[in-house]
Amino acid sequence: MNRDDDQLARALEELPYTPPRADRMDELRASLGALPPVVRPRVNKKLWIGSAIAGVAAAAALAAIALREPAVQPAEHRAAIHAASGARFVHKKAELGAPEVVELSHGTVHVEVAPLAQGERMLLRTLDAELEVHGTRFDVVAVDDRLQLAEVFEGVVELRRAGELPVLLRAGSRWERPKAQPEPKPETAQVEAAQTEPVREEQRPLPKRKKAIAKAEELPAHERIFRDAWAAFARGDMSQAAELFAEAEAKGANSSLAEDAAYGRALALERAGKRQEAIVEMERFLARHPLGTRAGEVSVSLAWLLLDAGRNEDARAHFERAAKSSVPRIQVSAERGLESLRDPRTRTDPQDRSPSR
Amino acid sequence: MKGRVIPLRRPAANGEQSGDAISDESLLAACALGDQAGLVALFDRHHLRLHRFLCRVASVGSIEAEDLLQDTYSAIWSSAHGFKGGAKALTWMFGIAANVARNHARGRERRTRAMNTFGEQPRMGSEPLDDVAARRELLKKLEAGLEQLPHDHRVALVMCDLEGASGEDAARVLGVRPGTIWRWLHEARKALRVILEGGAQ
Repeated sequence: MNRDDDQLARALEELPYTPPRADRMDELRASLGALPPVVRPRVNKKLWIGSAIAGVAAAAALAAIALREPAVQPAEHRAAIHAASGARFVHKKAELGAPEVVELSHGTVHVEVAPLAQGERMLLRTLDAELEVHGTRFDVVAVDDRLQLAEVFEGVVELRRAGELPVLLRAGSRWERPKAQPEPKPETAQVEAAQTEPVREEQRPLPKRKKAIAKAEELPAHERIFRDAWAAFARGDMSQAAELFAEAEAKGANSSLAEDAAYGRALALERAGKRQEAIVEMERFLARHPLGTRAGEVSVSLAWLLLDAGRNEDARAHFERAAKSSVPRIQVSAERGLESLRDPRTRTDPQDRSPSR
Repeated sequence: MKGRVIPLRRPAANGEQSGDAISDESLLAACALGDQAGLVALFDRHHLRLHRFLCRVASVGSIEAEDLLQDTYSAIWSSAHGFKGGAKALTWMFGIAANVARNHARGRERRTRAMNTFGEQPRMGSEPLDDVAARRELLKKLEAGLEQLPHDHRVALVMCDLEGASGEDAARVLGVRPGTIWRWLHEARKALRVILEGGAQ
């Protein structure tokens, strides 16, 4: 701009301006947090699916169509990659028969994956490791093609590293490369501390990236069933998911997986509309895992079910408990629940309640 | 095929990575994935600037602009998937607000202001005003002149000269060529400079 334009710009900045009212802005802010999800049609280049989809309901709808039309072309990108400055990666879209892949060579990425339909897979790879995701949010850090850290915020990630048995990372868990760990030597196989099964002498390390995928049969039974349960959940088969979670919990009763399996079963029962069973399962969960990472979420979900069942005082106790959660979504849902107890006219629709939706 | 890269962290004022706050672009990506927390974060950061933008571009008062602000954030929520990272996120949001303002203007009559200044010459021999009052009068005329501009010229001027968007970014979000933006800016500045120069005499 020249000098005259500068003078004009300064004059424009001096134009009188009245800021908005604070209480009106508070109302507007609160209303933004309650906006319904946007439903967008998903168009396939080769096969027009013609289905309007959104969130988990979308995965169920798409899965139903996929079952009727086996030759469905997968979506181009199911993952959104948020990259820190300096991160280097390549994002390959899914093709028929091949999964969507993010190849991370260096830096930090935060990945958000939409729920996958049946047959869809999404992988993140470094030179020495591979993470398979099931509708998750997670962070990954790599340095010079080597995996350094993986932290899962939502869903499940299966981590496979050369020379090691795969591990499952659930929400709230974090894997870090051990300090001063030597590179895995081809003639030995190392076992992660989380694994309890002995290393078999005939087990060979995974030689190259494309071949470095551990077979499902090598997973412990409860881990394998747990993975299948999440897959069923992702495609919307809640009844099967609930059964598989129960089986995984029973088989892995002494493992860290038991809590997540119990949570998954409770959530699947709720989504399947089996409210009374969901109430029982959630009460059992809270009795066994009162301080678990999922306790707040289960408390508020249980509270809503109890409210619907007319058990207001029980509902209130769980809302009050959940309102103390440090997770904003859970707090907001709990406060809405308490509000609806005070004034039934403010009771929300079911889809606005659960913090996990 | 290269991945779609969205900057994870906000740059600091000097262009360096701040390392703490999530970028506006990431928040928009979160909105596209259905995360209302991203929209609320964008509201906390930018609602005042968008409100001011709407006051200027829609030529409405503060209270009326509050309603337009609500429409703007609803439109940002429903259009977030359309943000491809070609322009800064805030400029893109200004583009959304400009459309909201245009739709609003089409639905109502333009308000008339107390003073219409085009062609008005200073009166000879009148009692001179003091500096502060003169400045106030000038700004009133400028405001009226801004309102008289064609919508597109006004949007370009407010977006670029007031809110600091680059011409290229503004062109991208408004869906026009950069040359068109420069022409709108030129016409708008020329029209308002007449008022400014008239007031300085």
